[in-house]
Amino acid sequence: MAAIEMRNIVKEYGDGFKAVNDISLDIADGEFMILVGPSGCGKSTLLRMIVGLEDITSGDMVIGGERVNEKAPRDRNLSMVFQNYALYPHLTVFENIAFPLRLNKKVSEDEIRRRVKEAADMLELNEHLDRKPANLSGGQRQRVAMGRAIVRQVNAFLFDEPLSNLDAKLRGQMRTEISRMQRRLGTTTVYVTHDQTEAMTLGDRVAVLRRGFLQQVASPRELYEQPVNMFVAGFIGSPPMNFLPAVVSGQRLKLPFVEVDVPAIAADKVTDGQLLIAGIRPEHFEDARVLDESKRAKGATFRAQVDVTEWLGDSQYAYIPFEANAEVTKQLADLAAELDGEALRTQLIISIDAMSRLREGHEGEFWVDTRRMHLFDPGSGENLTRDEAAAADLASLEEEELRERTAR
Amino acid sequence: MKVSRRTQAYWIVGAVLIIAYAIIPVIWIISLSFKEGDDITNNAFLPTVWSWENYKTVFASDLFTSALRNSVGMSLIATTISVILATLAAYAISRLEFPGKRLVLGVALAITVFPVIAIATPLFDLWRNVGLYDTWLGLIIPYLSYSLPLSVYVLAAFFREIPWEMEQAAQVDGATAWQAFRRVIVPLASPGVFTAAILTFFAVWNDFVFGITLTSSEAARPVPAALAFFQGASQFSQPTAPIAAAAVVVTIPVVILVLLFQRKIVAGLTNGAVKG
Amino acid sequence: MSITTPAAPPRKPTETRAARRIRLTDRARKERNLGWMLAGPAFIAMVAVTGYPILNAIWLSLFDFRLTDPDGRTFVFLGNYATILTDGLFWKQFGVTAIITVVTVSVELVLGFGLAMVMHRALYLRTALRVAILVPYGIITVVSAYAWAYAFSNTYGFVNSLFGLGDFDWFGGTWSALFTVCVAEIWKTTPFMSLLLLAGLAQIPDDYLEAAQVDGATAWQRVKRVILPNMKAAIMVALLFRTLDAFRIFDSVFIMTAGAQSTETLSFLAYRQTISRVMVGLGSAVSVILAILVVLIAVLFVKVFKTDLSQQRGDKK
Repeated sequence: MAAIEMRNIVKEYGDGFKAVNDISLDIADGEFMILVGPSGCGKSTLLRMIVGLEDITSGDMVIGGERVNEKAPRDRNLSMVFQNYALYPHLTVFENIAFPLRLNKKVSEDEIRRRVKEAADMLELNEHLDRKPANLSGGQRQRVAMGRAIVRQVNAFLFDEPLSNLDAKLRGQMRTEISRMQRRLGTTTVYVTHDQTEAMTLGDRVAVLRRGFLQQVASPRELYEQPVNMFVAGFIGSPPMNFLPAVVSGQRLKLPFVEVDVPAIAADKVTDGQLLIAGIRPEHFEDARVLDESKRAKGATFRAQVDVTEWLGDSQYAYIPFEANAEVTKQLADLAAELDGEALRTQLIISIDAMSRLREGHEGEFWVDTRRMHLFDPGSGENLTRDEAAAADLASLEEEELRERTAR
Repeated sequence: MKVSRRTQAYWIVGAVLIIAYAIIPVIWIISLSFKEGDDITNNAFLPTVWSWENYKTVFASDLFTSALRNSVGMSLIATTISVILATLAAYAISRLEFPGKRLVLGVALAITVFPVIAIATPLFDLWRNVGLYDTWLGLIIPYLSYSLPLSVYVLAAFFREIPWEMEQAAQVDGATAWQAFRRVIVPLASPGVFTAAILTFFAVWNDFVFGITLTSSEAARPVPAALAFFQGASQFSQPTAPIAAAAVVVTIPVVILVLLFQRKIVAGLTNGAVKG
Repeated sequence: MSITTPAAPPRKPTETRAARRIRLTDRARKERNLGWMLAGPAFIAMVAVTGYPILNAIWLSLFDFRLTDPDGRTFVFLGNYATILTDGLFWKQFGVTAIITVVTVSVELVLGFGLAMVMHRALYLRTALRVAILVPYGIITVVSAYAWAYAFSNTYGFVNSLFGLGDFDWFGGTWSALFTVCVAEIWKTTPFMSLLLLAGLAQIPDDYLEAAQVDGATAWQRVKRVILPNMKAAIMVALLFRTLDAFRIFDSVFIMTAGAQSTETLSFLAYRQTISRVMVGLGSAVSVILAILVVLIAVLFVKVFKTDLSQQRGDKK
């Protein structure tokens, strides 16, 4: 087991395209680190540079205190689970798991049998050891790939979107399984995904990438509550954060449906008349009629017409279209495109109590928790309301948790 | 697609016609090979009496038996070496990054394009000077260089179908590039190697140009060339029926391979062409 | 990315390349070595036998050189080429070769497409079809040539009696002799063509045809508007392979007509010049011309092919 340090890592292709741009990232011993971002953000390239399947153009890759830039993958002592599992179709499950051990002539046959058995026990693969990968279900294949990864004592586990080929239900189960396995073995893990549920639930920390640049590295909670910029704010959370045009007018801020005070933390950073983008998560809205009276005073209320509602049993979403000027619309469309989505119209998506009886096409009264609102600079995308003190608190909490776990 | 009974009937008629198209000339040469005496010139499709006489004649002739021995021996040797070399080269071309890769492909392409006859004549001079004229080695070498491009293309197409991740996984698991090739790729590619071997065998077995230009005696002359030099009792009567018998004999290996491995041959031919 | 800041000029490509060479990792270096270790033997085997003869042929083609008179060898530069290109015989043989090529390849394309359609659609007799079609492909060309020569022969064959042609001598006239050669060639090589076309056909998803059917296309319209445009690549590849092959036709002509009745092709001319008449210089020049013609055909095909493909790709975007 080992820590992984990346210093100013760059990957430049022959045509000058930089897939990874000056990324520095420290992954602590035993930590579960997630690399996340939309397609083409460089997350897989970065992972492949750690494992050695991709050459590093410049920068240092240090694993366990040793620079490994020029080392072949086999000399780095890492194991990897591939997106398509890369099981050897001509070998049985047993031989697939034993494969890395067989390459090392020093490991005795008894030792191989014992260790494969151990891995198979942990992954409940014992009944399948004599079968070929072609005869296994998707979930079983996935487990065999993990078995091959854990059969050796490695410095770190690397996962490249390991669950993306499974159906939703199985994905949930395997997610728990991976988490449990990592906690049990305590091995440093780097996990690439574009699925934010995986990112939020699995990782100690999450590194968000965008076009080869590192945006923010933080615990899931910090990413969610204190994003550094609009990109991170928009990427984390589902349904995504709502972005609305907001115009500063003295001490007040004018939004499409409502007017609120400029948050104290951002007061120094804005000028009168400036156009900003306000970000409010869907769950920070509510149908005013089903709201606790105690909460009402902590936010603002407004009236708006509901376009469409989606009732999901345990939750309910309402869609409220709004007008935005061309500049903001374009900016939001760009952001949506970058996040692998498509912004068809400017609309609010709000989460309301499942009990609410709001009807489509009718007007309703809504409440918004303005304390949780973020303000972004439309040019740079920078979050003007990020609370550094709160973020530091969250970070130290996370560190403590990791220390506690690895000490055990 | 949903197909009506009637349409399906049309397709069956088509299929039967195609089978007839392919088989009739073969049946004709077989039937000719069983003709004897006046039957040979009776201009009928089938013999009146079926006779093994012609087969006895050709197997009694040294010219044919030695040619058969030459053909079988040289084809097997050339095929084996060609496929081994092509497997290694195709792997390197489809998977590894090394300078000069384009050169290898370019040379392979040039050979497939260059007319065999244009090589055969200069080789004729060269072989006479170095003593390879009319020897097995003198034919095996050009067979190799002419069959290599084909086997390289077919095999490269097969290698490309093996997911990249297989070798990468092996590398991460601690395998050297050679171990990854030996333990993961070769077992996965073996059906492809086998197909390439069959196609190579067909190509070499079919050779005529090198056979007639680079040999002068029974020492190395393969069957197709020997057929052309078959002589009857007199200079002017071509021994038609014995030639037919000899032709049938050399077609037997082809038919056996086709019967056993039709599926693989089709896959090999089409893969290489579409993706190569 | 901005190009307007002169303060930071982009690094020159040569510098990057040099830098990269120094930074070659273990993995990349090992890959290079392994690459040559694996490809080297095949490369040597290919070059050793063909490289020298090709260069030698080009060299010899510049001499007036007769094998029986090695001392009389004189350098004539392009003289042999002039001799050949101004000789009516050469152009006649070029014409014969071109006719055989055009006729066989076009008939094979149509016939091969029909075969491919049947193989693709037939639910029964699939294995039998595959076996049947592979027999002509695998059979030795010389054997096929003999089979057809004997079938057409007025002494041994059944063709005349079948069609009631009496004593007609197929090999007595240029056109009828060429016809038999073409039939033999077509029979032998159509299967190969049809297999290549089948591969292209198999790549067209059934959805397309079903959609066309729903849209109201007749069977013929489906072939013309959906199938053919979608298998352009396969058709081009098949045409290229077969044209190059057909242009070099030799075996069938040698066996069936031995070049009699003005049925000589270019390959045959090259053979006859060097082997039979030991005119090494002239023969080599014919070989070189033949090679150049084949390369020209290939280049032409690839060029048409490329523009065609890039257009297709452009359409999709």
